[in-house]
Amino acid sequence: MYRTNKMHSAERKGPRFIKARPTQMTLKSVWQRARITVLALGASILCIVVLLALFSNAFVDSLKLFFVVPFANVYFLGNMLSYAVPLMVAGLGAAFAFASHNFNLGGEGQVYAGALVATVVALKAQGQGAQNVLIVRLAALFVAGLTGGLVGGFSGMLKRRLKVDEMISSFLASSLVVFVVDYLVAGPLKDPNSNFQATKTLPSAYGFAKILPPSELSVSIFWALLLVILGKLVLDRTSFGFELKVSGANKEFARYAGINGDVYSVIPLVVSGALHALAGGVMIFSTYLKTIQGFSSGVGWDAIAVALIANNNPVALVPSALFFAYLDAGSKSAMMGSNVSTELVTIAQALVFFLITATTLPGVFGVHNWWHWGKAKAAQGRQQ
Amino acid sequence: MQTIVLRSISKFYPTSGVQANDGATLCLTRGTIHAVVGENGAGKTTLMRILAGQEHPDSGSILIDDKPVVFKTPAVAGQYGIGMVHQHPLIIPDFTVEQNIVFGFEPRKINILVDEEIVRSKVVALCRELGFDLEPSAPVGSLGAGAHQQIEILRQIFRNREILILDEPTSVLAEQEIQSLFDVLRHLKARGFTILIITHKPREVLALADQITVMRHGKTVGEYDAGTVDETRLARLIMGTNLPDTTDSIDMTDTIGRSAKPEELSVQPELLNGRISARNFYTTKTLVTKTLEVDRISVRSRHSRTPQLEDVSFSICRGEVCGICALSGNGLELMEDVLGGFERPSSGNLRFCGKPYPIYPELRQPPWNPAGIAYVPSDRMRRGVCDRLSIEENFIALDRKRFFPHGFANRQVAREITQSMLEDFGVHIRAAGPIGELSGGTIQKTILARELSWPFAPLCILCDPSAGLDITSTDFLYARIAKMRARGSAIALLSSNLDEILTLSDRIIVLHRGRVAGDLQNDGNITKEKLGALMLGLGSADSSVVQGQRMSR
Repeated sequence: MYRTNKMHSAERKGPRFIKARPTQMTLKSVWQRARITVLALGASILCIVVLLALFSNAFVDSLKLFFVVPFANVYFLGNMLSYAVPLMVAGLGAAFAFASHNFNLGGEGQVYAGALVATVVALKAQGQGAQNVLIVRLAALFVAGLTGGLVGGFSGMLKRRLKVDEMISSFLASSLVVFVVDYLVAGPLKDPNSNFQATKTLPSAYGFAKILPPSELSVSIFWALLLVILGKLVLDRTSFGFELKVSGANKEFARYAGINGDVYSVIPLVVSGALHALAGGVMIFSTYLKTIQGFSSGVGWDAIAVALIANNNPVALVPSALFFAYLDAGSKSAMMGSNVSTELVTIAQALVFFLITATTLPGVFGVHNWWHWGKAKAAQGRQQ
Repeated sequence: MQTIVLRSISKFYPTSGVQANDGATLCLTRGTIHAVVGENGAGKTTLMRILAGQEHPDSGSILIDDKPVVFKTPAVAGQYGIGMVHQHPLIIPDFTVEQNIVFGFEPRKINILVDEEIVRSKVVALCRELGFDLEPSAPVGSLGAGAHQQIEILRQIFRNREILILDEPTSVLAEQEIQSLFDVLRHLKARGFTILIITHKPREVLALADQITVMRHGKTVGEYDAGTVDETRLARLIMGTNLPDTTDSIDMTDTIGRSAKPEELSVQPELLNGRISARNFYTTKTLVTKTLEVDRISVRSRHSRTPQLEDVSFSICRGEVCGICALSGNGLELMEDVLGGFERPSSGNLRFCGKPYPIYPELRQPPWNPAGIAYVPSDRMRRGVCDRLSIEENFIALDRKRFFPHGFANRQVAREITQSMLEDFGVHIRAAGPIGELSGGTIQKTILARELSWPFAPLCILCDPSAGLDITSTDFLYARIAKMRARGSAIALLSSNLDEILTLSDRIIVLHRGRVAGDLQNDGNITKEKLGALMLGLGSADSSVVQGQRMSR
C-alpha cells in the first residue's frame, strides 16, 4: 500500500496519536465503563476508609462524620447539593471542551472571573436602583458568561492562529486571571467596611430563591439540571454537537468529511469558558452574594475531574458532580468534627480521579499531571 | 500429533447484528503453516481473535492438545504461546525498533530499570537469527509497513509465542515485501513455529500453506492439504455457489493486465463497451469536458528543499479513468492529498468543472450531491473512517446539511439512507453498529459503499480502492467503476497495484520524483515492465509519452 511511508513523515503531519485501545473494545464500552466506574468509586471509598483509619484519632467517629453526616440533616444535605450545582455547570463546560479534544485547563480562572463579573454587574445595577431582580441576575450571568467565553476563546484563537497548545495557554491565562481578580477583590473593589478581602455584599433579594432552608440550596439546581439536559441535546442531536464530537474523535476524518476543524478548536473553548464563568456567577447568586478572595478555589479542577468521570456525557455529569460534592461535604464535616485534615479529601479525590481515568482514559495523561498540580495549588490557596 | 482445535465456535455481534462465526471449526497442527481463507466477512478474523483471546465465543470450545482451555484475555492465550500479528500493526511510532519489540516485556535490572544492553543484544540476536534487516535504534515512525510487520512478528517471538496468527499480512505490503515475508514465514516454520495465516488470495495460500481451512458465512466449509487443491478449486471453494464464471475470476488476481487484453477479464462486457466509447471520444476530441484540471501544480514542503511535486499537469475528462501510479515516495501520496483537498499546492491551479477546487477548509461536497467528489482514501483507518462512531454516523458525517435539517439530527432518514447505500454495495450489516469492530475488508467496503453508491459523483478520487477486498468484492468494485465511467464520472485511480491500473485505466500517468514521467494511453500495448521502467525514472523514448502529455493540455 503506497501510503505507508507517507504516514510517517512526521514533520508534515505533526504529532500522531496511536490508537489507545484496540478497536474491538468499543463493543462492550458502555457496560464495561459503568462497571469500571463503580469499581473505581468503591475502591476509592475503601481508600478513604483506610486513610481515615490511619490518620484519625477516633476512627469510628470520623467515619461517621465523613460518610453519614452529609446526609444527617437538611442543612448538610442542602449544602452538599448546593456545591454540586457549580460542579455540574462547570463540568458541562469541561465536557464540551473535552468532547472536541480541546483541553481547557483554565477553569479556575474562568470560574473566579465569572463570579467577580457577575458580582460587579449586580452591584452596578443595585447602584442604579434596578428593581427587577430577574433581569439583573440574567444580565449579570450573561456578562459573566461572555467574559468567560472571551477568556476561553483567547486560548482557542491562539491555538488556531499560532498553534499554541490550548492546555498551556488556557492554564496560563487562567493563572493570570486569578491574580487580576485577587487584586481587584483586595484593592479597587474591596468593601471598605469589611474585614474580609471581599467585594460589597449584594442584597439577599438578588440571590436565587432558597428551597431547603436553612441550607444554601437554591432553585439554581433546577437551572443546572436544565442546562445539563440542554447540553446533552446539543451534543447528541445537533449538527454542531456532532461536528464537535467528530473533530474531537478524529481530526483527519473530520477534515475528510469537510468539517471545518479550525472552528472546532475555538468554539468549544468559548462555550467551555462561558459555562465555567456561569458556574462562578451561579455560586455568587446562590450562596455567597459577594466575591471573596479565593472562594472558588478548586472548582475548576473539580469540574475537570467531574467531566472525565462522566466521560463527557452530560447526563452522567449529575451523579459525578454529586459524588464529588459528597466527598467535599464529607471531608469538611470530618475536618470540623475530628482531627482529620482537609488534605485527606484532596487525596481521596485524587484517588477517585486516578482510579477512574487511569482505567478508562489512557489518552489524558497530560491532564492527569496538571490536575494533581492544580489541586495542590488550590489546597494551598484555601489555606491562605 | 500436537494440535490446537477450535470446535464449533459461534459468535454473534449484537450491535451490528452480524453472526460472525456459526459453528466454525479449525484444526491446527504444530509446526505447519495453516491458511484460513474466505471472503471478506466470512468470519476469519473473528475466529482468529477468539483463538488469540481477544474475543470470547458465545459457544464452542478451544482444545489444546486435547485439553479444553478458556482464553479470558490475550495474555492467557499468550501463556499457551499464541500471539497475533495484526493487520494494521500496533506500533508506537515515536519509539525505536527495539523498544517496540520488547514493549511490555522489557528485561529489567533489579525489576525496575529497563536493561537496555540486554534489550539491544536480544533484539540484535533475534534479528540475525531470523534474517531481519532492522536497525534496533531506528525510530519506528520512519519505517515502512513491511518493517512494522516484522516488528510485530519479532514482538510475538520475543514473548515466546510459538503459534503466530497473521491477519491478512499481505494486504499492506508491496510485492517484494510479500516475498520476503513468505521467506520469513517458511524460515520460522523450519524452526518449529506454527503459522496461522488469514488471507483471501488463493495464490498466496498455495505458495505457502501446508493446510488450508476454507470459511464461508461464519462456517468452516472444509479443510484441505495444500497438495490436493489447485487455484481454481480453491477459488470455487472460497466463493461458494455465487461464483459467476470460475476460471476468469480466479485469473483476475493473477493475470489482470499482464495479458493486457480486457477480453479475458471477468468484468469484461461492461469494461469493454466503456473502453471503446471512451477511446473514440478521446481520439476524435469531440466534447472535451474536463471535469478535473490540474494545471502545473507544485508542492514544496518547508522542510526539504526539493519539491515533492513539481509542475504536474493533467486533466481528466468526463467518463475517463485516469490511473496514476508511482513508486512509494515519488509523490503519489502527495497527489492524493492534493486531490483529496488535504494539501494546498504551493503553486499551480486545480479546477473542478471549471471552478476552483474545494481544497480544505473549503468543504468537499458529499459524493451523492451533483457537485460532489467521491474520495476513497488509501489510509482507511485514519482518514476514511472514524472508528469511534457508528457506521451510520460515518455516513452522515459527510453531509450534515441533509441529515441535520434545521440543525437537528434526523436519525430515521440517516439510518434508512445508510442502510440502502450499504445494501446497494452488497454490504449486509446493520448501520447502527460501531464501525470499529468490522474487519479491514468490510470497512473498506463500507467506505466504498459510502463514496460510490448511486448517484455517482462527477469526480472520483480512488486510492487503492481494492485494498483488502476479496475476489468477488473486487469484481463488484471494478464493475461499479466501469458503470460510473459509463455514466460520465471522471475517475482518478491512484494505486500501487499495477494490475488494477492496467485493467481499469483509459490513461495512465506515471510519477517519478514528483514529476510526470509518462502520460500514456492505455491502448493495450502497455506492459507492467514499461510502467515499471517509467516509475524507476528510466525514461522512455516512446513517443506516446509526449503525445499523451500534449493531448492532456
